[in-house]
Amino acid sequence: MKTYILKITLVFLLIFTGSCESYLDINQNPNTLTDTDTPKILLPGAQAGLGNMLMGFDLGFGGAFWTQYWTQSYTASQFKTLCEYEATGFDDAYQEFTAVILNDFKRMKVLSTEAENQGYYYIAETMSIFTWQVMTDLWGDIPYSEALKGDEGIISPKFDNGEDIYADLMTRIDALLAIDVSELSIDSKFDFFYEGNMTEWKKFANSVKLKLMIRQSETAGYNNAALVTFIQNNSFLTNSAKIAGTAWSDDEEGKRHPMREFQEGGANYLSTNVIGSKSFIDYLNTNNDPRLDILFTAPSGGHLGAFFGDFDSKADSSLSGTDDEDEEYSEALFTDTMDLIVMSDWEINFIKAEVFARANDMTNAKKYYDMGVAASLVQNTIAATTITSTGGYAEWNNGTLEENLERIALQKWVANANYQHTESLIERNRTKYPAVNNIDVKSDRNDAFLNFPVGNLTVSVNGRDKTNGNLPSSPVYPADVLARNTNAPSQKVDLLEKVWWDKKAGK
Amino acid sequence: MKPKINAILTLLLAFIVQLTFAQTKTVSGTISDSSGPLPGVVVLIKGTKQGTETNFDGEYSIKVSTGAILQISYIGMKTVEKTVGSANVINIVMEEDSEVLQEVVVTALGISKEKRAVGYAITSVKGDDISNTQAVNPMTALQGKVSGVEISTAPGPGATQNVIIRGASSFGNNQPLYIVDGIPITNEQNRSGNDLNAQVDFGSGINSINPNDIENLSVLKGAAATALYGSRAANGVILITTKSGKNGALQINFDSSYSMSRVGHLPENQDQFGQGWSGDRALDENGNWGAAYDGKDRIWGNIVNNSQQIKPYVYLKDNLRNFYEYGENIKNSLSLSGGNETNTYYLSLSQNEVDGVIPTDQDSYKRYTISTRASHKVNKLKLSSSINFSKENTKAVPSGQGTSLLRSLNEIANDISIVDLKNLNNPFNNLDNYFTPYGVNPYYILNNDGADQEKYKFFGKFEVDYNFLDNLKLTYRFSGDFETSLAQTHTGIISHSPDSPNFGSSNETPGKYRETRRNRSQFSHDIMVNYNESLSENFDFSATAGFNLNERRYDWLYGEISSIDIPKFYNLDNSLTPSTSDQYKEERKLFGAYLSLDFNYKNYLFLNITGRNDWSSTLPLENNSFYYGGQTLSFILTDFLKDQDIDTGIFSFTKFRIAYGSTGNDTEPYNIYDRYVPSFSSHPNYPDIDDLEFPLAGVNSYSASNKLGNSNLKPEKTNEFEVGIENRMFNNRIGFEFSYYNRFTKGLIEDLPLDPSSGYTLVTTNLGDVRNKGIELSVDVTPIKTEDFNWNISWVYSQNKNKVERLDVDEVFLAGFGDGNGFYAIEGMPLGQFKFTTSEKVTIGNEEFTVVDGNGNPQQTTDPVLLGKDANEKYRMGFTNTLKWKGLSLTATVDVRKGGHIYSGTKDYMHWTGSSPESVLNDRNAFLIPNSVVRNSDGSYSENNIPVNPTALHTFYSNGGFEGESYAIIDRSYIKLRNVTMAYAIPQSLCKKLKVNAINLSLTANNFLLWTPKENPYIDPETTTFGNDVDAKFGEYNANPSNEVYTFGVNIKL
Repeated sequence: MKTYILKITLVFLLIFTGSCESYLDINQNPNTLTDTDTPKILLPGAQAGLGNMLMGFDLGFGGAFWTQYWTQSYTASQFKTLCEYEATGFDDAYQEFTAVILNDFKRMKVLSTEAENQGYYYIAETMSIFTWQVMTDLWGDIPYSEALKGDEGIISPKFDNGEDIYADLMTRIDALLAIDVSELSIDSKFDFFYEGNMTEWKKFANSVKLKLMIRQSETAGYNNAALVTFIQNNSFLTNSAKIAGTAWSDDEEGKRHPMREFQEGGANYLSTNVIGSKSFIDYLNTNNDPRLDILFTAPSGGHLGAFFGDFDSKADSSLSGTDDEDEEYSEALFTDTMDLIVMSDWEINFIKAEVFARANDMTNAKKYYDMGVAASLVQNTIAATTITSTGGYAEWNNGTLEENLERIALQKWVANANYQHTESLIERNRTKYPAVNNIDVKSDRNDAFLNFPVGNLTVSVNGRDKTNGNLPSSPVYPADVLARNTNAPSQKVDLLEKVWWDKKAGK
Repeated sequence: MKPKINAILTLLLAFIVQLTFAQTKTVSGTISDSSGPLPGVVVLIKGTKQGTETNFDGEYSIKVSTGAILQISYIGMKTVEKTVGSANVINIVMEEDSEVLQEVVVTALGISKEKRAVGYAITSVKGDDISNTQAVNPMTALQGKVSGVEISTAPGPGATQNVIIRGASSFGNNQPLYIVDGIPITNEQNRSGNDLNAQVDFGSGINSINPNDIENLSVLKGAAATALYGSRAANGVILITTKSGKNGALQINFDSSYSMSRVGHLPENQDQFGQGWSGDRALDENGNWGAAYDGKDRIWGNIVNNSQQIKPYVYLKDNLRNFYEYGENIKNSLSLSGGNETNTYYLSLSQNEVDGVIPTDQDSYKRYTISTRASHKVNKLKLSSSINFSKENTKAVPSGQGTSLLRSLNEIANDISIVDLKNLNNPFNNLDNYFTPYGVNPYYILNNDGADQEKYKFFGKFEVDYNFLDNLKLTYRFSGDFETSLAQTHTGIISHSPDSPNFGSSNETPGKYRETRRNRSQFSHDIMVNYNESLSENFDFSATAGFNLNERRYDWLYGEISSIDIPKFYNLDNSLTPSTSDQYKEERKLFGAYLSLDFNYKNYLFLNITGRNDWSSTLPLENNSFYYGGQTLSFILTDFLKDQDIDTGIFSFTKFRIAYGSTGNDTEPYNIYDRYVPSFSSHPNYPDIDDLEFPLAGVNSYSASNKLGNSNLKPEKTNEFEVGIENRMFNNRIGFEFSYYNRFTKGLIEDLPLDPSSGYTLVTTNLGDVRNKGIELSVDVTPIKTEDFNWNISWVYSQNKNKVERLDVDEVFLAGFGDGNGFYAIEGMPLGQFKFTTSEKVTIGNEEFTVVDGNGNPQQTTDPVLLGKDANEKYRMGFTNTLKWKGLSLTATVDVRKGGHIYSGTKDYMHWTGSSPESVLNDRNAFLIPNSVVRNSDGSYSENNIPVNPTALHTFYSNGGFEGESYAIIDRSYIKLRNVTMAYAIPQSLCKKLKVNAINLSLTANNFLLWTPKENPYIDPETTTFGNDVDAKFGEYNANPSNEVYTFGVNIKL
């Protein structure tokens, strides 16, 4: 009997124990790429992702609403909360910026230790700095120095204040600019922005630094002379960093410009939820700006914008015989070959114009201002620059510094429509232009309709009380961050909390 | 359908004709029990009315043919059947009828044990009790009948059965392991869409079992009971033993039933206001926010060809109910079995066709099964096999957001007759002219969208038993389960003519079609050695040692087109844009070795010790081995006392048991290593929007995975302590069984969501510890028991307290919505806490005020807040009453659940469409939120004097009214009349004339009465659209309603 047991046991032990380790070693996921030694395969995704985050969900919409290019239509409700200033953390964008885009830039740098990969390092570091600036410009104090270190065991990174983040970003961009790019090269196919042209990337890096500097214009440490010097001694991007419109396959799902996807993909956001805001439509319409017909489809009765954040209205503000909710409004228009822009040539020109205006160098201010407007017109397929010519509504007129700043800011506001909604939101916080008019639409709708403060923004009709008559400044913290990070501060009270450089008086 | 029945009848007839009768002779003998001869014992020739009784000396004599069966019955004794052979004298010693005392249960590894010897709670259900409920799927039949087991199921035909034993102890998988005749069954759910969108439940593996094939079903609940099954059994085991052939003549069993079903619980509607928006009657609106009903004839809908329809403006009662039709279910099952000394066989066929309550056969389920079992003995060798094959066709109507059928129905105001929209050729009803551009005619959706699956499942085993010695047996078993399915889902084109009223509607879609193939397989090798020995007269010992090897594979592959070219043709080529595809595959292996020792002292004290070690491929290589085991002790007090010659009085049987056990558990594959995934950029927030995907402009791209690899992952371990008492009194008339358990799961493996700032969004980790403790009680009483009449009451009660005792993080999101509203695990609280944004409150002085925005509406909190509501019930119980009078029996089961909460997407949606009964407060005139304040710019508060705008009540209610978004969390309690069965056995005399052994007829009604608390006029609280796990407890998102089923059944034994 006992020998039986012994024999049986021996047989099994022989069969199983010998091959056990290798038998069980099957836990590498066959559906994914286990490892890579080439950073290039991460680049296209990170570039497209960044473009999508700046002009897709949440910020493409959030930026357009908060700077009043668009408002929520009367009869639909998808974006009501954004238009009535309900607290939002732009959670999806935060997650995508950090866990996807910034993490991939970090991984690219990790994979770029070899000399031949230094080009990828340069691009990844520049874009990382660019992205971190967007992050802290939006959310203010965020995890930075300990961020992106989940693989090192830090799952609750501490929060850094925005000013410290800026200081470190400046250090990083300076270190990067010290690198000689002439020896660097990358596989051009994987670079949507500049097809591997490292000289262009150097200009992009300079532009990133310029943007970091100008954002601090209202802070105590701001030195305009340093910017003048920096501008005079360096070259900046002349070609917008973008996913060119030719990259899209507009008839395929998921291969369209993000805004086209939200329209064509089946959600019809642009045709049913988004209508032109009176603040923007009236400004372009009153001034006969040719970009109006490029940016919006006019209804049969001509362009019409709605009061910002106005819902549930049974009134007929225009006394046209048709209630506001039944009027036909201008609809945002995106073509199937729309560029998806990350940093634009007009943006750089407007920054330069502002720096020179602040230095009271009117010649250069006008020069770069005109170039900025022209760049925007070209982007919108308009050749004629009559609006900046003598008598044009956007003509440079050597006004006071505030007048000049407003002029630049308003043209930047127009230029950024359909291209840089996130930047538009951040820059308005800094410049406070377009200015905010206090008009209370509800108290006299017809008067508000007839005497609308053209060139100003208004406070959301329905969101007025939520922000006590102010415009939102920055998103609150995403719930995912607050709930999952043991080092997170308490939630912001509302959307009115300002980031550290947001010092200018005004709403 | 008909040809099949004919075929079966022909087959039956063939068997009947072959039956022949043998020679008649006289048989005599003595009937006695342990105390001597028994007078008055009935001796009956089975299947006839011929019989006799024993005389005062227990003697009888009867004329009978050889081959006939003598049935000897006596009150309080077990009925004995004896086949008449060559012998002319048949003496019988009858045993006391203490069925329960001698009850044999099937325990882990399929080892049969007397229940008395078992040291843990085990519930055993007879196959007949399952098939008698006429349930299509076996687990449904157990609802309300087994303590400590929660069974819920989605309403659609063939839907998944969600079973949780002794509370959820994992945040993820809580489903028990199903073992059928030693074969582990793959029970994953096949599903299309997701929780919120186009959700389709195609059922899980256990659905393929024909309930008529089940001989016995055992529920092993605790860790000590399941330890031998290894890590896969951490959530309990459902052990199914199927019928097999027995030594004897051919047995034929035929079951047939026809069921009718109708839609069950439907939400209540308000009946004051009809179509419109903002308080005005608007003819193109999809809500009930219009003017009050006035009963006048009014025009409605669009103007078509210069004409418009007219109808009275009144509330239509049962508008939605009338949309549904009667469903039906036809079931047939045939089994043949028999055998001799060396061979046995069993063959069964079944056919099941269900057409649900939704018009057309868009909700239907067809199942065909074939099972065979055979065994053959040669000397010491026994070979046995089991082969089971099933084919299931499931058609389902997708639920969820968008233009789903249910949403389209809900969006029809209650003054517009739904059934009148049926004729799609009527120009007023077609897509172009349908009354609202915001919705689509539901009858169009019904034919336009669809989902179906064809699934084949094949499982079986080959087993060799070799008896080296009388007390040493070796068993080798190879078993496998393979299932393959092909599912297709499609959304048809919705487009409108350019000049039509609905042109430009956001419902327009170019259509979509996806075909998915899924394969799942698992194979096991088991080698077991059994040894038993009597160590002394009073002391028995047995041991089982074995090895188990289990391999599981899963893969899917789908192709999809996102626009349809030629309408109604669903093929991957039929698109103007190229089709896309994706794939997935996974593989896991588990190796285990175990030992189980049983000691039996004088048949009243039993000790069992088990141990098992597992090696799993899903854990880190250096950490992949884990050991666990259990000890149980069972002590039969009554037998001990009898052994000491002490009278136990009214106590027939009293048993105490105690068990302590542990089980380990591994994780899903691929949680250990970091990796790169194909790059995409997310476009969240809407079902039809695709993420920005690569390749783009001829370039492909990858991205570092957001999931952090965890090379420190350890197996999770569950320790469970359990005590119980089983007691029977008054000669078995009253009995109860009570268990207390305390189960502690340590190092629970779950996805931990990470702050994305860390660069990752989740990691699978040993996240925390969860404790479940509770009691289970079952009582049965037989108040009346006479020869003809029998009344039995049984009551099962369970109570489980669940607590997340430790968590590495503040909270874990389990299910819900992207904005954080959902269902969480939080340290120190029961699993499944609801967190939702709610109306903001502020305390000024001692009074609580509601903070309102500038429009008089409640201000919502910025982030979700803990509501103090969770999904767990206080208790659940079931009553079953059985009355038997001669051949007639009546059984009713009431199922009660008290406490717990559920998310109702239906409530949410009805608040949006304005049909909810709560939305007519103050007859929809202006009202001020009581005790409301507005926040001033300086942070102070002042009294609110702005009333809720009566023209914007849709905003007020769709944001949740007074309670904010948290309003959709409602009480989950219910009382259900689960099942009522009336059965009748045709008298033997009639059977004989028909030349059959038995005919049983039954009438069954399932789920036809439901009581819910006042807070829930909306849904059947068992409904779920959130999968089949912990998530399923979250609630429903526009799920299809549940059904009532009425069945007429026939069972014929030849």
